[in-house]
Amino acid sequence: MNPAGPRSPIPEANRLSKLLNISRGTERFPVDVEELARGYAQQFGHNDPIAEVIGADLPGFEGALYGTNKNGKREWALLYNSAIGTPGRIRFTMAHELGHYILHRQNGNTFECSEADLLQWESIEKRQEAEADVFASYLLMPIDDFRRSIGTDSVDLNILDGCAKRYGVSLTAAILKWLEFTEQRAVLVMSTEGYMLWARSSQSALRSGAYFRTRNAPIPIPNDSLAASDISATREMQGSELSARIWFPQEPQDMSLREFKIVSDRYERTMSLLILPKAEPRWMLEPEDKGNGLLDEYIRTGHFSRNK
Amino acid sequence: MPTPLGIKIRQLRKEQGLSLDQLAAMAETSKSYLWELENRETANPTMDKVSKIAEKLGVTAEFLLNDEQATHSAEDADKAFFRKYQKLPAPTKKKIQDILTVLRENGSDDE
Repeated sequence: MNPAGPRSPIPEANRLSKLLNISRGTERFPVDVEELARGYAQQFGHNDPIAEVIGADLPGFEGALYGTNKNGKREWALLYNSAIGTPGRIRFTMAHELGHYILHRQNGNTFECSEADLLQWESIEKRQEAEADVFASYLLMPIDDFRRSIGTDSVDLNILDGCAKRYGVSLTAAILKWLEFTEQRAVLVMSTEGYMLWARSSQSALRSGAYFRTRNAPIPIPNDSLAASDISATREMQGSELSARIWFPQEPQDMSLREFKIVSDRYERTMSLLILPKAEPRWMLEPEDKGNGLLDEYIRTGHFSRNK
Repeated sequence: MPTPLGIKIRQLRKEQGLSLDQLAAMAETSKSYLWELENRETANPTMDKVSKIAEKLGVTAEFLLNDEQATHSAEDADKAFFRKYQKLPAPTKKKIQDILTVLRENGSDDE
């Protein structure tokens, strides 16, 4: 039906970001997803608009996109649970559903599946859910802007919290985004009652072996970590300096890391952000690393902007 | 997202003020196995372990394993990137249906 090929989440999100850059300029964050959803069909010349965006108190529900065929005209309704969590989470849910509209609505809104293809159906659905999440994260937190916002090479929770506020998303969502592009070695660990639920490493952390396989047997939180301590301050903004070996036994003896701890009362979650120095000890750094090459590197990674 | 079984075990354990360590010791199982039952999406419960845990919590194994009696699931709130479908409670389904009915009023070719 639709001549266009399959749409991928990142280019589609970037297309909208460009539009917002032009139409809204510097005042465009946090992204007004509802306005974007309502205007999308007109902006891009589609005849099946999202006509309704409705929030309601819907326990157990997050959000969905429904075809409504009103008066013989194909329309869509974006429904979301307005009573759940924080504005950041609601914004993410709405962006996720907008992602389904842009990426998947051509596939129809019903999947008729027999028992035989149930497995395949599940994998399609999983892929679509993941794509909608990627779309939402790129739409709400464009990486180029995120790089500029970070602005310094010593990232701490305060800075990431500032980014979460700028983009109107949860701190977790902002940190996960930062992990996608940072050059720093950093690991985010979500745990409950002493064991890890999941963990995510930045590319350079992954390469240096600083990661956790949380899908295997449950990994306990190390005893001497801040996460395991009784300190229950809801946000350890400054973090604590400790030996990297407490979390990562393979790290060199003189390696330290900075651990930040955030405790969420809901469901007893503890979030730990671990930031490690570069894999090489300081004394191994060549003198030329501190020359102009480093400045170029900083500009390239967005620590400094050429415009400033 | 945890299984209904995991949610029920955790809820009962909390209500009775038991730590993971305590219930694991009472039910003669390991702490990490109990944690997996409570938190993993795919737990592999064995019948005799579930029976023992049920006994210590003062309920039947049937109650723990019956999905129909699942209490409302607390979804992993902040992990926005890997959300899963979740079974909707009946009142929520009804409410969504009502909203869609209103939206589709005057609809000529619906259904």
